[in-house]
Amino acid sequence: MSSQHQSAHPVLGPIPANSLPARAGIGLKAQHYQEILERGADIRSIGWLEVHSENYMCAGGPQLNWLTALCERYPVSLHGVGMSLGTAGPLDAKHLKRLVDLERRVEASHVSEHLSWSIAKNAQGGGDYLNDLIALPYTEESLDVFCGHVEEMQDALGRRVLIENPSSYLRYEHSVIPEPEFLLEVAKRSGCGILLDVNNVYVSAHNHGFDAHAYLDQIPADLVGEIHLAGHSQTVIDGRAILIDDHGSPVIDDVWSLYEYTIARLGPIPTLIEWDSNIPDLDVLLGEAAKADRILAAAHPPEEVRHVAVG
Amino acid sequence: MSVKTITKAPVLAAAVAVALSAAAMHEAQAAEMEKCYGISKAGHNDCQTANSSCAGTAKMDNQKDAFIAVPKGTCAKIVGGSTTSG
Amino acid sequence: MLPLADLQSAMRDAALGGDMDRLSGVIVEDGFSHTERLSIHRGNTTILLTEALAATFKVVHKLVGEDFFEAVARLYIRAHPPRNPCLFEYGHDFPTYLASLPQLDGFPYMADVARLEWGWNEAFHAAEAPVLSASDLAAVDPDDYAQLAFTPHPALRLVASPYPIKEIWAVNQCGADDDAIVDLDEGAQTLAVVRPKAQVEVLELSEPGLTLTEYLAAGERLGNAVERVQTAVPDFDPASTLAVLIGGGAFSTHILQS
Repeated sequence: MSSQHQSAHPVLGPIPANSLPARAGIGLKAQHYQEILERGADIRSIGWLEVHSENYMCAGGPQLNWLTALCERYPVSLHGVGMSLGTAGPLDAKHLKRLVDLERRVEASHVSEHLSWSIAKNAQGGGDYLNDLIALPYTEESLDVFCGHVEEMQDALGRRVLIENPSSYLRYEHSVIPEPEFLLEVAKRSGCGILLDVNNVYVSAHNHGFDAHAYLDQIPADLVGEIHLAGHSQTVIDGRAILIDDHGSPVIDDVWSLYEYTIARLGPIPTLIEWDSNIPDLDVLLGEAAKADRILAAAHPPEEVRHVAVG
Repeated sequence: MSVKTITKAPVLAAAVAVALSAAAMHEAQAAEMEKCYGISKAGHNDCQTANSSCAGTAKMDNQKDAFIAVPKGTCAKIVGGSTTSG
Repeated sequence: MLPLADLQSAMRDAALGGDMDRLSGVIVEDGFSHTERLSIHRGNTTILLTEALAATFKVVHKLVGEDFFEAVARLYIRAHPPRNPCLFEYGHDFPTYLASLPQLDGFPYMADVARLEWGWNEAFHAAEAPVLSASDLAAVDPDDYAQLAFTPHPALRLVASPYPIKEIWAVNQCGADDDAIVDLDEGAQTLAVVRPKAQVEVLELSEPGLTLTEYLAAGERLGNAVERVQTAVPDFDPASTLAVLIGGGAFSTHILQS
């Protein structure tokens, strides 16, 4: 593993033609397939689409056909939720192969995953998938595990991937590396880019009492390939509130402010509106996307910044 | 008619001929229902297949393991049989 | 310091309803106890996987109602967590699990309805393949019909039940008549699930017709397959079964075996 770490940026190449436009995109939901195709050119506020890779790893069928039809109209980004790059032990080789097959099929503009884990190895030698994105302890051991897996994923795909900062609800006593530092070290060692989820920064900052602006200030523009925005909700336990990243409501004003702050600092970057529960009418999603587009259009790229190549 | 005679080629030929003409009619009807992109309208089930998601949930799991209530759904619509209970 | 693998195994147990005390002193408490923080993750795993099962087994969910389904799903998830992150593949043994529950003893059709829903789910996600049509067979010499062999379409699934599960399934679809009643005494149903175009369809077969379909799907020649069925059911006429199968898109290709 250590020999790989010395060859930083192993799969970097020139900026590819299939990178996403610096515009707003929306998370594609089955409820909206038909309307997006039927309204077509009349929808100006969809710059691109993102899907959860795992939902399209089937052999065939209507869902894959919808996605293929939509791929002809819009750039598509594959956002993984199940590779579990933070799991101790080997990656699921079969799952990685399925991702590579899907990436080839849809000619994805971006491929991304999370700084988290979802699978615990079980006694049978396989893994139990918990359907949750769980924060890692930020230790040297986790760094080795995570970087090794990002490199394996990038090698299999033959391209750079983006890694997203998580929303978290707990921290570990033995964590020794601050999260932004851990993320930057992953990028440095593996050559991956960063998917900056502004809502996740807000949620985690609230839950753990750190300063969201200070976190964002540590992320350099040349590493950020994509931004995510979503709504969150609040759960009250024993009279105290904890924020839960449930993607089930509009982006709140405070997160829009953080987003404006981020775009002013980093320049225009492809931005996704995520909405995964209580799915609204397409027009509600488009309204959120138009809001992001206005902020992007008002931004000027900072000088001497080339955004991360994702290819 | 004996078991042997029914499988003789002419009988099978007649059965297949009947099957093919009936099948052809069914196919013609199905073709009329086809939509653009070779993808038909999302059926009642299509929008709700099990999806992996990167979002958590604010709902809490407060139930105890051991308790299972009696079914209280639409199984009341199923009647008859020797063992049915409402 | 807890090695990562051990931490993850302890957190898996906590998420699946097990002991949380091993993580006392490992999770920063800071306003919330470790059990409060871990129960957020337990909720994510339990509730989101329950939603995934409810999406695949919509009719079972409707038949037993929300509370019962959640209680059963919780037990199932903890005993059989998913082994891969593609949730459309989660739940293959849920029908068997339902069959094992004493609480469902009075609902003997429930596991079969779940099998039909699983078949539907598998058919929906199966690979694309050509659909053998009646016109593809037009060129075959009738004298050679006995030598015909078929490859099944990848979506083809067969489900048999002593109960009228297609009716039960149909009256629990969205838009179905709320007042519709199914009489279990309508009896057995043998079904083929197919996906000839974009839509999954459920076709009715006779019981010997289902047996014929199984033989043909296994690659047996038509002549042999029909003869074997007729050994058990002497007056079996394959015409209607073949019409349903070919018209419904159950097969993908054919060959003539000499």
